Amino acid sequence: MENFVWYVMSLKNNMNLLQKIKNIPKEQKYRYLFIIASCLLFFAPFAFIPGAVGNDDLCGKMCMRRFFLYFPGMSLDDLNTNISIAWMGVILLASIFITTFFYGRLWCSYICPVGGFPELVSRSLNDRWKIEYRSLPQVPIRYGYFAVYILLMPTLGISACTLCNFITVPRLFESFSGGIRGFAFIFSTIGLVNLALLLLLGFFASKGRAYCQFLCPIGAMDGLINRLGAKLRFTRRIRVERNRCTGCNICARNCMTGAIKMVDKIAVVDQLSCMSCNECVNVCDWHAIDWLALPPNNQPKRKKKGIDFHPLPEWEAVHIEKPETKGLKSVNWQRVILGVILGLSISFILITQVQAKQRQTDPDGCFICHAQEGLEYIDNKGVLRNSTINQQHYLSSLHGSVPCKDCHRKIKDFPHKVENGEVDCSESCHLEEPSEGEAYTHKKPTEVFEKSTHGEGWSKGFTGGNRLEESEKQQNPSCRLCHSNSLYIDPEKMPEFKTAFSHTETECGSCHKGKTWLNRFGGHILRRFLSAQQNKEDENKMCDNCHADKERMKKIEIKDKETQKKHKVDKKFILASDSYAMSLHGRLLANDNEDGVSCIDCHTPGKEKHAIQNHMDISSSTHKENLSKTCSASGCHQFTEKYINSGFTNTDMHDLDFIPVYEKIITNEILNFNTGWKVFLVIVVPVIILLISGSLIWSLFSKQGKSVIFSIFGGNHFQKHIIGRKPKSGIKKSKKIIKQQKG
Amino acid sequence: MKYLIYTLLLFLSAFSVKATPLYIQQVKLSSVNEKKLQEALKQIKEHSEVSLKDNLFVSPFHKQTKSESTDKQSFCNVCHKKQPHSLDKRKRSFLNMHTRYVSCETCHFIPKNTQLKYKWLNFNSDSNKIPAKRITPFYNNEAVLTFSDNKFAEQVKENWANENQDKKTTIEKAKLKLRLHTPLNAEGPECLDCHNNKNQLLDLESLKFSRKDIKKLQQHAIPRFFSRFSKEDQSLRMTDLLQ
Repeated sequence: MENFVWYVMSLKNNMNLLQKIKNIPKEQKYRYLFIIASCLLFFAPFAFIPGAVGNDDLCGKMCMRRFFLYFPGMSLDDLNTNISIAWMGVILLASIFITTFFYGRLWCSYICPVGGFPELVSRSLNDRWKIEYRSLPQVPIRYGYFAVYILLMPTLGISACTLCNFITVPRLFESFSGGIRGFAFIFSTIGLVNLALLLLLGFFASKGRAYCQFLCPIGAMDGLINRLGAKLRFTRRIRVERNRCTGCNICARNCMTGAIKMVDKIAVVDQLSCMSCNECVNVCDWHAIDWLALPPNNQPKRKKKGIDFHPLPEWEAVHIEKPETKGLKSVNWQRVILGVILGLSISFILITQVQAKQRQTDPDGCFICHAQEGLEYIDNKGVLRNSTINQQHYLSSLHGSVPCKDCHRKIKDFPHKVENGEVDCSESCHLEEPSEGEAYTHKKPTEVFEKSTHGEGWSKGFTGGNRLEESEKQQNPSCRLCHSNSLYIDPEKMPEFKTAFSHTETECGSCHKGKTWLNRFGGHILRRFLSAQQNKEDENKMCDNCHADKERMKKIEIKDKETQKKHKVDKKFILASDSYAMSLHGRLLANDNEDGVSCIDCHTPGKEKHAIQNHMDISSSTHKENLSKTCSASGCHQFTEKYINSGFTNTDMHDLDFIPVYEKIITNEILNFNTGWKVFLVIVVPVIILLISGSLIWSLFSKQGKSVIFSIFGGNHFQKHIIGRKPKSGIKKSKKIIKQQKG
Repeated sequence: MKYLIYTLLLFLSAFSVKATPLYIQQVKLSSVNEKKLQEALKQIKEHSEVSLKDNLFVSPFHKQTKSESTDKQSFCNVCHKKQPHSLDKRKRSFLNMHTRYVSCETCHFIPKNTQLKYKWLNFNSDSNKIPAKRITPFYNNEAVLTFSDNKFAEQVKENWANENQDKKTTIEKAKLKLRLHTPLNAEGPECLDCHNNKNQLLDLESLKFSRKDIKKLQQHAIPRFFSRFSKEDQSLRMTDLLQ
């Protein structure tokens, strides 16, 4: 209570402020109240209106600014999707435009909380602190920026949100009403930029409306509509009665947008900037300026001898200057600048549209022929050759955005020469890698692949024709054996992708603006997310495609890296797939257990999925030296890293003994000394035979003595405790006797 | 009244006796020339059967459309493969492509002095399947050549399958081959014979092509592209195709 009294006293002391409030015209007080009310309606903590559509600020569904941004090659469908995302904002904007057309920019002056809040703050501050922007040529600046905002910024990839104060002002409220998000945002880059704009063009601008004057895109469009309707008689606008104007310029001084200019000592309203806030009306002592529609009848009441008697006032909304001087000064430079801006904008749209259309999916016309169904022939080796490419599949495949010529580089002529169509997977194509901006290439994996144990497989020279040659002669896999041009998104994952992709507009899209961005990079990143959880079983299927084919594996010859000699593979290699399937690693996977381990998990545990090496190679992850590291990779058997536990790595993951017998029979080798059990047998069996035969021979020659229980080890112990016999007299006893004798 | 006549006509047509197809008539009439017989014998000797290799271990990189399979086979398919053209490196794929729309006899059976009518003939007997319709010549409301499931075809098959290597059977085989091919033209029409604005071999309108499709067929880029080949071993710039 005391505080309140003190507060009132301090107010009373500060007569200047009270006087100031008193001096505000009554109608303007109502306007301020409107703005305060709309702040409460739109902003945190209440945010009634955004809350009604499930939003908590003016972004996303409520965004009134984003949907009309232009992207090169944008079609009407894109616009429709943009509209459908920010539907609430579109409805709001449409209602703003409709009211503006009939009543002037009432939204801007009476309701807009984003422009109104800085205005109120600015008005309550001392005028000495402020910057005067109103004298700047605001119309060219506004529309110039507007053109940049709509056309250039999205094209250059600058987020339109960077300069949008529709974020900052609501977040400011949010932060002061206890929201952590508001605070966090204000200290981000975009937040700081907007805070600076809010301070410079809002709080410390004279009358606080500089942002509306120069940067607000809604204001720019609203101003155009305001100007458009101003010429009509039935629309309400701020109009000047020239006969009554005394040229006192009090209206111009009070106009918050700088829309009133004194031309020949008479007030003239610029309808591109006027916000119909009615302040000029309130301050004019002569009723020379008013917010009204023209009366339907502007005929004077009486006319006598060509002179009007009791003339009705001529309320003029738009004043067109007619300069009498000739030459350069007679040119309306504002119109010229606006014309240039308009011309540049239109030509920009046209050029980008044309360029966007040139980005064809089939720039070389390959699909003119190759999309025809049934382009087949049987070549002289009997291979059915099919030149038809399923265009729909191709366009939605991994290489769908790669033009044919990026891979089949040299094809220029028809009939195509075979060598001209050869594909080299390590070449780069004309696409850009989304994250790095460099030309896309498979060079790195190709290099890794070439060094790997499969390295002799083809990575270049692919043609449609040499598939037979590869199938029959190559033992190593080529790029195309494992990687076909599969669909960009697995059909099974398509529903998941689609739902995720529809969210990108609202999730990623609230910061990363632009349909192009969302479609290309958003899709790219999403796909990565979805396919990152690549199924281990699918990975194994790829390996099994060859390694499970025992007939094929039998024919394989492995080159020794040191001696360069080729030798046939052993049984373990041939049955690798089977022995894996019997291991715990394989069984877990077969039961859909995520803890299962795929071939790749052990054979290339790192990033490089192509770096599979022979286990004899020191760089191989399955080499004895590296096993403890491999087994502990990705948190599996971490204890193996300790030296004491290194025995764990002796576990044979391709143990042939687990394989059912019938699998073993198919291999030609009869004996295999590689496994421990067989070594055991080889040593133990002869020893047993030797012992039996030895004992038989011994029994022939030895004397038949008393049958006593006697064994080499533990015999004495048995005798002593079980039978209760005294131990045999021997060294021990004699020692005792000697001791006794001495003692 | 009108409909009554129509139904009567339909009724009558159902009862009308099937005439032998025109091609078979001509085969039976054809005579054997000694010179040509020697050629045929030589061809049979030189011919070596290549078994068809589909589904190679290395699958094609690009997804391709699958070969079409129909319930009924053309009589020609008794011997010839479904992709019969293989000699002309430039055109073979495109010619084989036409087998999906045009039956063999449309191009290879154009007898002089006889007016043939062209109609669509369905190669799928199963009504549940998508019809595989091909343009086929008709004579007296009877397809000029029938499918491979009739008596004539069975007989030809039987005669050809005779594996005796002696001279008599080979000569018989050569004669059969010769007679079967006498009514036919080895060389079909050129691309532009059909794909032009005037004087097409086929009356596309009566084949119920839409005007748009007719225009598309007549002004198709590929046949016009081919028309620029003047020499056998000439190669053309691909960019010409885009014009």
